[in-house]
Amino acid sequence: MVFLSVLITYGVGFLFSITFLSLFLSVNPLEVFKELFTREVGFALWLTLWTSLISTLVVMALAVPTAYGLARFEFPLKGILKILIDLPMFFPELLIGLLLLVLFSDTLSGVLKTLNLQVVFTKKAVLLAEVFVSLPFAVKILYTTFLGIDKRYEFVARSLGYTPLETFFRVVLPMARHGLLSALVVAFARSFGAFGAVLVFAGGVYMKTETLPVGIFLNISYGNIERATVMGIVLMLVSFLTLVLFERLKPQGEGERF
Amino acid sequence: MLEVKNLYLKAGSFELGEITFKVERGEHLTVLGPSGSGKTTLLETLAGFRKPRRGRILLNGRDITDLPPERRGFAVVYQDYLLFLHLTVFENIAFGLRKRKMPALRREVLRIAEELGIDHLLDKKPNLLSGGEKQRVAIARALVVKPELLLMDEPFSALDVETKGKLRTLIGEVVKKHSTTVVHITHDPTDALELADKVLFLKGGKMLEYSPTQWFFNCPQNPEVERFVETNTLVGTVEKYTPEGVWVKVGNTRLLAKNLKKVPSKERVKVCFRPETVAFKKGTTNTLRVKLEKLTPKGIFYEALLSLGGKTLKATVPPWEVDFLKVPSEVDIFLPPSGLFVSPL
Repeated sequence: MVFLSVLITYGVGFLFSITFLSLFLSVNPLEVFKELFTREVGFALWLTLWTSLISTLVVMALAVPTAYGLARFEFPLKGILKILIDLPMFFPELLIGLLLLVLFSDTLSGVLKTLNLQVVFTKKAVLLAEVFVSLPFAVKILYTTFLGIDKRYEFVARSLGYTPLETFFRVVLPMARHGLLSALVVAFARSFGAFGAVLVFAGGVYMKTETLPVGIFLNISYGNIERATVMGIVLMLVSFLTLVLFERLKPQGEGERF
Repeated sequence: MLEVKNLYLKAGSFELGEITFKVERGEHLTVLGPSGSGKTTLLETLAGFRKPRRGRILLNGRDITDLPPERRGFAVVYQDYLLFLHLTVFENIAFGLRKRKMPALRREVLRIAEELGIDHLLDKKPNLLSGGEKQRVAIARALVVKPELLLMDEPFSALDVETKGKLRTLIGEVVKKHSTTVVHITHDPTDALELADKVLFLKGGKMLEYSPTQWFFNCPQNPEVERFVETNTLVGTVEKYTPEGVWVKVGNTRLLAKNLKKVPSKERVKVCFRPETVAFKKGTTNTLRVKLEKLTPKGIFYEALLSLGGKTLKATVPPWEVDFLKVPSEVDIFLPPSGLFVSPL
């Protein structure tokens, strides 16, 4: 059993490595270096980074209370709310983009006009699309995490004098740290790699709403394969570094024996 | 003092109540009952985690029924310890003290840790401890805040027999030393026998019995509890009260009982005794002629089934006495006055 599972793991790892490396091997390193410092790649990297970071913060701020509420309390329409929040996980990103486009350019257009607020085809749209793409995943992870924390831990803290809010910050969140970190990684990864929703809702405008995934698509469309490849490499490297960082942040050696 | 008056609550289809009892300061009340009897629901209601539909909970005369758990001054210990895994043993014990902003926090933690023999574990994380150690930490965390009431839910159930015995004795001593008032949920009568001043018996959400421990195990009022504790009962009539106790006539025999609830003379009463108090010998008083019907080995002892005027009684017989007994036969049994309990029918 051990042998088989380790063998399959190596196989999967090898397959992934080959796929990743093929991109690196397909281009001239000098070309990569030159493309790396073009304004377009720099713009796309910067836009992707800051929108992903902000959207991750927004997603976590919304997902933590939502998941806790769903896991702990009973309230009217809870069942249907849970399905509605999970639903976008099943949607292709293009559909999420289309839904947001219709919402902001049609349903809410009057309100937005009154507020003199332009969302569609702007950086705000990039941010919103990323939030919508990643929020359901973060809620799902955190919901499972909170469900797995025995409610009686909170009872113990309450009996020792802590209010519900203090108990949440002193007991529930620290005990949910593995789930929080996983939700954070997934939220960032989904935001960083968001493509379809960003393309449809934010328009994929050159040097305006051009994130790295959108940039890859645009450059492939123009036939600029070198630049698309460089953008792909940058995206992979940032993803890799992010994962390494999260792995280092993960608390070690806890939770095996109890 | 904790006073619970006519407490009733509904949780789904389960109903608990009405429950009425009192626990004096420093007293240990054990709530006994089978699984699903509502013991934990009662504990969580006392702690403030559940709202009763009716009834009141009073602490030292003050109504605390609607007070949130954090303002009751109670502490809870569960069967599965529930130590905060992200904190060290020291921080777990200090958890309640930190909220109280106690100046001598370190000294208090060390003192209770020493009392419970866990002072060498203070820097460890809970996942590295054994079950017995974890439960000591959980009890230290609860006791260090000097709670008005310590609520324990099956605190020894997850432990092996040896650890359970040792910890039960230790907890009993520490709790008595601190004069802590305790409500202790358990399904194990041994916990009640060793620790409790009073016992409350729950079944199906109903309170069947509430009495001092001695009376609970020797002469309960409820017939179902009588079967649960396996005590013997006979019916007699009070003849007279003397300084030695009460004389009761059972059939043609007069029995002297030292434990009694006041009953008027000539009144019919229940006379109870435990199987362990029966001696197979003839005494100068308190001797009954019974028929020995059956002897069954039960572990290292034997259980004797006796009949007296159509009533079946049980006695515990040590193995070295079995050889002298013939089944079936007429035998004399001696019931020591200190083992006889008399209460109204």
